[in-house]
Amino acid sequence: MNQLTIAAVRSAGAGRRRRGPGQLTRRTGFFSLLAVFVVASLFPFYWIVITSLKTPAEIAQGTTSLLPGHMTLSNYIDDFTQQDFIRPLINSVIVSVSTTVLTVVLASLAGYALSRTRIRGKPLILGFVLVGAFFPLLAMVGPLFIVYRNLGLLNSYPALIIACLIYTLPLAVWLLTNYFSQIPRELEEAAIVDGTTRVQALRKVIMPVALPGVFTVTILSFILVWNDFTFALSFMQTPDRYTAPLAIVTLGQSQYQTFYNLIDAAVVIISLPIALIVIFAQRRIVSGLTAGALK
Amino acid sequence: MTTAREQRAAIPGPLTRARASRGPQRTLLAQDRRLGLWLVAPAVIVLLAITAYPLAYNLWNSFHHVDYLAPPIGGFAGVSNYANLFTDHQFLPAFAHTAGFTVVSVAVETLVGLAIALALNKPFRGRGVVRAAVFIPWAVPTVVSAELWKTMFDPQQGFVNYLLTELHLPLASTTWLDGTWTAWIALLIADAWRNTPFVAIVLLGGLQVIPRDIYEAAKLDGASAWQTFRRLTLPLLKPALIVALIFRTLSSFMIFDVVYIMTGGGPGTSTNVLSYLNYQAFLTDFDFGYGGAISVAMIVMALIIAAVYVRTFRIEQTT
Amino acid sequence: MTAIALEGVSKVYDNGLLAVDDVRLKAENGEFLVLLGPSGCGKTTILRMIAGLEEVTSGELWLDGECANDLPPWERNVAMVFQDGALYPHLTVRENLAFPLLVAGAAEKGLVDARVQEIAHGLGIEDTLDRRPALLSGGERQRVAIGRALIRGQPAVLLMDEPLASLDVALRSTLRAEIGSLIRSLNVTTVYVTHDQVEALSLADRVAVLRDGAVEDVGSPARVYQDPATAFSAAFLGSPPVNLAWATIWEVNGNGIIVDFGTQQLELPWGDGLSEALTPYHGQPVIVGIRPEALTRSTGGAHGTLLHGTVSSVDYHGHEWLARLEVGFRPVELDTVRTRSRRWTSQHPTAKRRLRFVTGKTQAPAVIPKRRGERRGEHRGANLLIRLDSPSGWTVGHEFHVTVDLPHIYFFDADGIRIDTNSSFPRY
Repeated sequence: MNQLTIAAVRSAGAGRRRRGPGQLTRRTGFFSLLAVFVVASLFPFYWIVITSLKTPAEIAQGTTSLLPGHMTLSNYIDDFTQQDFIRPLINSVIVSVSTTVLTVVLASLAGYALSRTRIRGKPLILGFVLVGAFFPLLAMVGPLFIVYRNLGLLNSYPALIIACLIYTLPLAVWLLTNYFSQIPRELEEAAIVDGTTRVQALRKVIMPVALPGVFTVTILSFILVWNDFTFALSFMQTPDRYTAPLAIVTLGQSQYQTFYNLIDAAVVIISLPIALIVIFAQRRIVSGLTAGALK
Repeated sequence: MTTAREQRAAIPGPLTRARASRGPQRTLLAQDRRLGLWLVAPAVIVLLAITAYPLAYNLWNSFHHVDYLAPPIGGFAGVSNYANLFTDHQFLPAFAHTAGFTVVSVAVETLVGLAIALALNKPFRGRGVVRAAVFIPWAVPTVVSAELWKTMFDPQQGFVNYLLTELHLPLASTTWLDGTWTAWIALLIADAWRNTPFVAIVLLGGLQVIPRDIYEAAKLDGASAWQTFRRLTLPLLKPALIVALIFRTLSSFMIFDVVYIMTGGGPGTSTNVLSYLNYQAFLTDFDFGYGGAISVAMIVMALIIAAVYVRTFRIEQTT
Repeated sequence: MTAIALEGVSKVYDNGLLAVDDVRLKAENGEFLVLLGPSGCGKTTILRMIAGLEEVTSGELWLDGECANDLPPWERNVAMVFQDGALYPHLTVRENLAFPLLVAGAAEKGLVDARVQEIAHGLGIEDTLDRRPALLSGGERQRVAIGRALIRGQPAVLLMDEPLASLDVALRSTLRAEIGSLIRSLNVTTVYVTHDQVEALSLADRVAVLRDGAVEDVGSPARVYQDPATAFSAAFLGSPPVNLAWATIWEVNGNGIIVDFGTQQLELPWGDGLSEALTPYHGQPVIVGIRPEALTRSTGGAHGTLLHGTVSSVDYHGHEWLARLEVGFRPVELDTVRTRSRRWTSQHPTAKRRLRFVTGKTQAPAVIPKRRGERRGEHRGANLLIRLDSPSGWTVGHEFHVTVDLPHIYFFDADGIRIDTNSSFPRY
C-alpha cells in the first residue's frame, strides 16, 4: 500500500483534542442531562405530595402553585376514616403475599426441574412459559369471569390470586431456571451421595444457596401483583374487596367533582412502600430484570 | 441373581430407552425424567389453566352467539362475530389507535431509555441514587401513574397548565383529556414516564456486558465518539434492544389501565384501544361472542408480534 | 533519537494509591524494552500512560522528542496489543483488521482489502479472515490483535500488554518466538509488559525490573541477570531462583573478609575490588546472593570457599537435578526489604484532588489482580539450591560440601541495594 496513504490515514485522526475548555462544558452538560432525568422521574411525585397536602378549600379555589399554601394532613386522615382506605390496603397485601408465595413455590419446583433434570421437551416448556408473559390480559378476563361466576368465586381472594399468577409465574420460572442452572451440580450430588433424596436435596441444599435469586423473584412478584388493576377491576364487585389500586380509582370517581387531594393522598400511601422497596432492593431488582431479559 | 435383561435395564442408554418403554421404569434416566415432570407440572398446569383454557373458551364463544344481556339468541354464529369486527366501526379504529400508539410510545421509550442507559453507564458519584430515582416510576402501579398524570394534566389543578401559563406558552388552558389529540399526548406521557425506566434498565444491562477494553482499543485505533457508538456500541447492544422492544411492544399493544383511568376511551371513542374495547365487550355489554372474537384476534396479533421478534433475535444470535 | 522518555513520571489514583513513583526510563528508536515485575508493580500503568489511556499525574512523558502528556491516544503514533486481544466480538477478523482504516476514513475499498490481505498473510491468519473472534484460538486471536495494531502502517511505538498471559504454556513459547522475530523484522520501538522473566530475558534488548511503582534495575538481559542492581532483581530473574541469606561482614586486618552466615563462613581473599567494597560494612548485616549455578560439588579446594550441609531433597528435572542442602542460614524475606508505602501519598493535597474531580481529571483506580504461580522474589527456608548434572552419591540425609564460585556471588546491603558492582546505580 502506498506509504503516503498510510501516513495520511494516520493523521486523519488528528485534530480531536481531548483536553481544554470543551471538557468542562461536556461535564456540565452531562450532569444537566442527568438532572433532567431525575427531575422528570421524581417531580410528578412531588406534585402529588403537594396536592395531597392541600385543603379541600384550596382545591375548590382551583389555584396552583409550586408550594402549597396551607398544608394539612386532613386528606390522609380522610382517606383512612371516611373513605376507609385501610380495607383495600389489607386486601392488596393479602393478594400480593399469597400470589407471591404460590409463585415462589411453583416456580422453584419448575425451575429446578427445568435446569437440573433431563425431562424431555425443555425448549417447548420454556417457550410456552415465555408465551405466558406475552398473553393479552383482557383475553383472559371474559372466560375467567364466567368460570368464577359459575364456581361462585367472584369477588373472592382466590379469583384474584389465580389470575395474578399470569404476571408472576412466567417471569419467575424463567428467572429461577436461569439462576438454578448456574449452581454447580456438585452441591446436590454431594448431598445425594450422603443419602438424601432429590427433593430433600432441593430443599436443604439448593434452596439456601439460591436464596438471593429467590429473594429477587419474591420482590419482583410482589411488585407486579401489587400493581394489578385489570383483574381487580374485573373480578371484584364490592368495595370491601377492592384492592388498593382499584380503590384509588373508585375514590376519585364516586364524587361528581374529582377531589384530587384525596386521590393523591391515597396515591402517596400506596406508592411509599413500593418506593422504599425499590430504594433498598434496587440492585437485586435490576439484576433480576436484566438477567431475565438478557438470557 | 440378576438376569442379563435386568442388568441391561440398569444401565441408561439408547437400548435401555427402548426397553424401558416396555418394562418397569427403573432406569435412573426414567426416574429423573419422572421427577422433573412432577416438579414442573404444577406451574405448567396453572399456566395452561389461565391461558390455554381462556383461549379455547374464547375461540368457542367467538363462533357462537353468547350475549348475556340481549334476549338469549344462542346457537352457532359462524363467523358473524368476526365479520362484525370489520364492519362495526369500532374494532378497526381501535386497532389503528392501538397500532399508532404502540409505534410512537415504543419509539419514544427506546430513544429516551437509551439516553438514560448511556448516561448511567459512566461511573460517577451518586450513580446508585440516580439509578434508584429513575427506576421508581416503573415500580409504582400503573394506577398511580395514571392518576398522577391525570392530576398533572388537570386544567385547573395540573402542573402542565401551570407551567405553560408561567412560561407564556400556548395551549395553557387546554382541557387535555377532553381533546382528541391532546388526550393522546397525556396518555403517551403517562405510559412513557412509567415504562422508560424498564427499557433503560434492560439497555443498561446490555451495555455493561460489553467488554471495556474494546473501547480502549477503539480509542487507539482512532475512532471518534460517534464512530465508536455506531460501529461498536449499537451492534453489541442489539440483543438487549430486541428484548426491550419485545416487552415494550407487547405491553403497549395491550395497554388498558391508563386508558380506563384517564380517558375511558373518550372523548367519544377517540382514544379507544383494543384492550378497552375487549373490556367493554365482556363486562359492559356482556357479549362474550363478540368479546371472544376480539380476544382471539388480540392473541393472534400478540403471537405474531412475538414470533417476529423471536425470529429476529434468533437470526441475531447465530450471525 | 529517543523514541520514548519518562522523566520523573508518577501516577496517583483518586484513593491515594501511588501506582508509579517518580520513574525515569528511556527507550531508544527500534529498541525492544521489556517492563518486568510482579502484579501491581505499575508496569501496566506505565504502558497505559505511554498509550494515553491513563493520565500522567506528575512528570513528563516524551514521545519522539515531543511532550505528550496532554496528547489523546489517537494523536500519539502508538499502537497497542491488549492482554486478551480486545477484538471486536461482533466483527469478523477481516472487519476487525479493517476497522482502524475505516475509522480514519480510508475510502478506497480495494486498497483496504489489499492491505488487510497483506497483513493477514504476514501473520499467517488468512484462513481466519471470515470468522468471528469467538471461534478463534488464543494464538490466532493475539495474531489478529497484532495485525490490527500494525494495519495502519508502522507506528512509532508498539505497546504490548502481557500478550501471552492468557495462552496455554505450550503455546506461549511458540508465539513468543514468533513475536520476537516479527518485531525484529519490523524494527519498531516496542514496550512489552510481562511478569514472566523467561519472556523478558529472551525477547528484550533491555529489561526494566519494576517493583511497587519504581524501577529496581534496568539494562540488557545479560547485565540484569549476571550483575543485578538489587536483591529483588536478582531474585526475580533466574530459574531456579537465586539463594539469598543474611550474613555479617567481618574484616580481618589486611588479611581478608569473612562472610559470616552464623553457622558457617566464607573467606574472601584480600586485595580485589570486592574486599574494598565490603570493608565499610564491617560488623554489619548484608544480604548474600548465590545463584545455584555458582555452586558446585566439592572436590576439595580452598577451605574458605566451602560450604557444607545435609541433603534434604534431590529432585529430578529431566535435563538436570536440583538438590537442597540444609545449611542453617537465615533466609531473607524480600517483602520486608526496602518496602515503600504506596498509600496516602502526600504528594497531592486534598484540595487539589477535589478540584480534579470537578474538572474531570479523575479516573477509577485500576484493579490489580493476583496471578497464580507468580514469582514475587521470595526465598523460603534456609536451604541452598544447587544444580547437579547427576545425583550420584548425593542421598538425602547425608552431608556434603559444595564449592562457591566467589566471583559469581552478589552482596547487597540491608536495603537490598547491590554493594559489589562496577556499574553505577541508579541505572537509566
